[in-house]
Amino acid sequence: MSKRRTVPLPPRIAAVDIGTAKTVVLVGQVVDRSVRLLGFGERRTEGVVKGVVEDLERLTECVHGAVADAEASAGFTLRNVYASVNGPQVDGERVKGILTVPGRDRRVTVADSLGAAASARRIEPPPGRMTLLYMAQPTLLDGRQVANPVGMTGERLETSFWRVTHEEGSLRQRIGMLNGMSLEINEFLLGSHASACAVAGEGDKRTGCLVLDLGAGTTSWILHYRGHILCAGCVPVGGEHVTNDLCSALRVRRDVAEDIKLKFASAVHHPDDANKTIVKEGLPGGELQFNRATINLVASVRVRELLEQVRQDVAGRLRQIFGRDVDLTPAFLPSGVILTGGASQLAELPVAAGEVFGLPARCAIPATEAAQLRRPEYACVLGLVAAALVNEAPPRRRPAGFWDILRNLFRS
Amino acid sequence: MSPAAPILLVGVGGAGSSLVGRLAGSLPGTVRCLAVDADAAALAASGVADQVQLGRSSLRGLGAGGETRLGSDAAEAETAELRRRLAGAPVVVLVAGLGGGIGGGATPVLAALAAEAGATVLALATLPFSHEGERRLASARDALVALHRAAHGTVVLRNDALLQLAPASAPVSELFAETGRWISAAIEAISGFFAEGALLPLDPGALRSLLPAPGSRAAFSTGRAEGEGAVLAAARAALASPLHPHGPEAGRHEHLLVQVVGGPGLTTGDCQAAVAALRSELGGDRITLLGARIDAADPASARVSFLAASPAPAAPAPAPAPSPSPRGRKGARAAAPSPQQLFSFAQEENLRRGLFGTSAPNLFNGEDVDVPTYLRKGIRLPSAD
Amino acid sequence: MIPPIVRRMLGLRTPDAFARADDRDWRKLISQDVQRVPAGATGRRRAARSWFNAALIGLLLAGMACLTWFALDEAPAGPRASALRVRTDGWLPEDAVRALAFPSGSSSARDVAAIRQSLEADPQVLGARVRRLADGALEVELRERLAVARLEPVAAPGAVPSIRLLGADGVPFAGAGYPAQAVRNLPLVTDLPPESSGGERRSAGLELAAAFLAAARAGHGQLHAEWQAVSLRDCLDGRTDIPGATFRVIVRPASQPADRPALEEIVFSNAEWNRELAVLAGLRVDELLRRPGMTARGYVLKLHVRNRSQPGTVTMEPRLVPAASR
Repeated sequence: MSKRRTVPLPPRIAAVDIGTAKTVVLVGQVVDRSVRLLGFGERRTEGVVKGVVEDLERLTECVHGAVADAEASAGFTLRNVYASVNGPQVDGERVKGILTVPGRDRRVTVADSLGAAASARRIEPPPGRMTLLYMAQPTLLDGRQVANPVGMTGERLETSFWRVTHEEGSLRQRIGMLNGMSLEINEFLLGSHASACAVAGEGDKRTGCLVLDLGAGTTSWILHYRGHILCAGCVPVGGEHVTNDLCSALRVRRDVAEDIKLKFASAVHHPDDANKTIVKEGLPGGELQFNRATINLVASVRVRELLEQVRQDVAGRLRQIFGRDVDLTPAFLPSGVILTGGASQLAELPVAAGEVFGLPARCAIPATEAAQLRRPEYACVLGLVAAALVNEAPPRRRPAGFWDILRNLFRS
Repeated sequence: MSPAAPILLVGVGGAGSSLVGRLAGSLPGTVRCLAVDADAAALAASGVADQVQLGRSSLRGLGAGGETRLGSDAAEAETAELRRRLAGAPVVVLVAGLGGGIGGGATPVLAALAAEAGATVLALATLPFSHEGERRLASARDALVALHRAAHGTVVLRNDALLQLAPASAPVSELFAETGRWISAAIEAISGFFAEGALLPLDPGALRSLLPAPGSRAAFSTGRAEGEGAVLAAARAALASPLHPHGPEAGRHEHLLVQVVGGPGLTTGDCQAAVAALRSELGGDRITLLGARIDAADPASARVSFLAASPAPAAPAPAPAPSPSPRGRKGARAAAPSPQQLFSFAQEENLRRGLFGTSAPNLFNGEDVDVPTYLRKGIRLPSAD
Repeated sequence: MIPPIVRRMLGLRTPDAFARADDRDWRKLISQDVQRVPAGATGRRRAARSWFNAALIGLLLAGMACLTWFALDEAPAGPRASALRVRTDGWLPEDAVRALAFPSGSSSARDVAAIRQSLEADPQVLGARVRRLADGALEVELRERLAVARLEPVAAPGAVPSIRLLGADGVPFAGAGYPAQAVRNLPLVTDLPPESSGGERRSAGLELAAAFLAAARAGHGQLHAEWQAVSLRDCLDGRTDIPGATFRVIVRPASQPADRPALEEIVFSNAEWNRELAVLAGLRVDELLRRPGMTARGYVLKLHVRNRSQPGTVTMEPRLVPAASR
């Protein structure tokens, strides 16, 4: 058979990201380290407030609509999806399994490393919560970090994982909703992990970075340290809170406040803005004037509080892990803070983040072919496709039979 | 009903009595003042002539220390005296800071007593600042619920919002002065409803029709403006005031009382325009009352005040069947407020949280993060140009 | 799984996150119940779209299957793989047909048109119809050139002399498969001009002889049965414009009765043999030969006379001429 008769089939991955502001369904293939878009569907989320589902029926409708749009644009029926989890109902903890290496020669076998992993998994999660994922963390052999302990000699093998758990009720709800759309869930993936896969490169993850995904209802973060995921968490404050603050301070309607936030708000308050006035036209009561200093003060105060809350959350987790207080310094995390997500588009946010965390901070957007997706709010769903690839079987190559040729004909 | 003093202003607790004391001199003659407290020294310092000291035996001249239970007990101990003092006034206005022990504990008792005596009870209550701590706020909220039940109308003044009224560079003491100014404006407006020389007079019975039964939710605001179109501008200023709740949860009220005070050039047309502006925002579909007064002292300026009220539903829903009392607690009668009061109280609380009003509170490190940060941290915003 | 009522009876608890399982992996505790048809209006739209797609694909597949069915006729097949079914009105045997259809030189499969071409290239095959059947077999229907005469066998140096037959249209062919009995009674065409004896080239003389013999066999069978050979000695390559161009039919001596002189030859003219045949059929040659005065041993029947005095005309005047005077 000549070579052109074999078919390389990179796996097609469908990813569903249900956020507070929007629901995105993306069908893609990973080709040469970037995501190729096959199908895309997006809807405004209804029924989710601050990351928690309030109205399941409306949410089901809107997710179903997004799935139908994605199917129509991809041209084939979706059967398996990867879903992201985010919000206050997701929690994580570190679980560690310790194994004393048996055997006279103290050589670690594959069975030993599996045994250590199994003993880590035996730790019970808190009641009412179910385990979703285990994310690999460094393996220590006699206190030394090793990449692969099999074959090495030592006495004490410690394997640790970052275990992600989810509240049972909302998890069942989510699964039931997706199953009702005749979609089977292959895997749940952590939203912050997905965002990190999209915007942080291998180099950043290896040196150490903190990725923040500032969404509309929640801000989720994940810490990479020396190439492993150290911890992750979520703060239930997002871009909507900034809008609410502006709404209350300027005494305007929500859509006007949102518009003002997008156009004029900044994360840093400059005192000499006090005399600059913003005129907003086209409102029912005529035009209104706002003081720019007010807008920036309100927004910057809220954003700083949010960043401070994230910092406290990170510090708390690190204290749990290391047993002592750990400072976030550039020595600890050389790649600093990477900001993504819809709310990261606030002006001068990296400056504020740099001040709050004491680390170099920058905003990042995901790299993809499709220009419409090169925005920070799509980082999570693009990262889902890339992260899910680890789960899939390696791409198949086999001789193209009649059915394959036929199938490829119908695949544009 | 003595026409000499149709309004009785009662300051309850340390904050209330000191406020009333400050205002005592500047109030019109139609207002009579009374200070009620347990702390003898504070009563003496308040400067109000009529005083009632609560809990002479239990508290012995000391304050309640923030314990509302002590405050209510002390008030109940002096029921006879209070009844005597509260009698004879058609309108009783209670002023209290609900964070304190006496303020929080005694005010509902007084409101009940005054209502029993046949007066229309209007309560002006302040809630503590957010940065005074959640515990004070929680006890203040409980007291507010009880007050709702007892008084005909309750106007809540959130200290956070008061903060925004003061100029940015003012010290903290100025805030209390600002609260005083607000309350005095309120008293003035209310007394002005019934004063002589009104363009469109009102009688005290009007207030009764506005607040027919205990449990109404009320809102009050006042605004001042000068110059051309002062009346309409004053109406808009009243609406835009930080003390007036704003947002989709503010809701509309069924009863509206508007008071316009203007210079000699005040016309009925101006008044009607002001009323229209207020009605568009507030409602007032069932009853709208307009009172107008000429104030020759300040011809160029105009002041517009309104009192909006939503009465509690006329036929209260039958109380839900009492849940079987837990074993071992026979005879325990939970003093839980009825659902209506909780609902109206909750609406009041939700206004702080703005768009997130109807969702569950979002506690992070013990704070409700849905409330705007600048309110919680007490940051004053620069005024708009 | 265990139905809920049995579960309750046995006191088992539904697995949930409050169960005291060790790690409470969500996959173990929640079984995904994926509905085949999604619910709701959007679900119905999706199912309809995918059904529509499936129907479209089905139709296209059916269309392609039909095209394939027709194309199979033209599709190639190997020589050994396919069976061969031959129907012929002649004598060509199957292995000869196979040898013709798949010449040993080419190993690749041939399509039906090529097979037909190679079949019809053989002079014995007048026309061939080749069809490929559903099971891959080849069906061959042949119309063969039927022999009317024999020719002198031509032997390539060192090879076995092959039968050579003459078809009704004058084309000589190797009579493969002809049984000896069929060939034995065929008249022989002799005295061919030297050029045409070597190859298979058609010559007008052969055509003429073949046509004549075919007509005679068809119309005058008993006469034809007595003939042994046709000589083209004076045929002059079958030209019909020369009055002297004739051909002779040599009569089988064994068919002649012994008590009268034998008829040895009959001479026909190239141009008029049709009429002469008709005349011959009407002649009572036996009576003529028994007339008194017929004393020669053998006679030649000349069915025409060339008028020497008026060259260019031929009159129909059968005459018996003694055979010795050649």
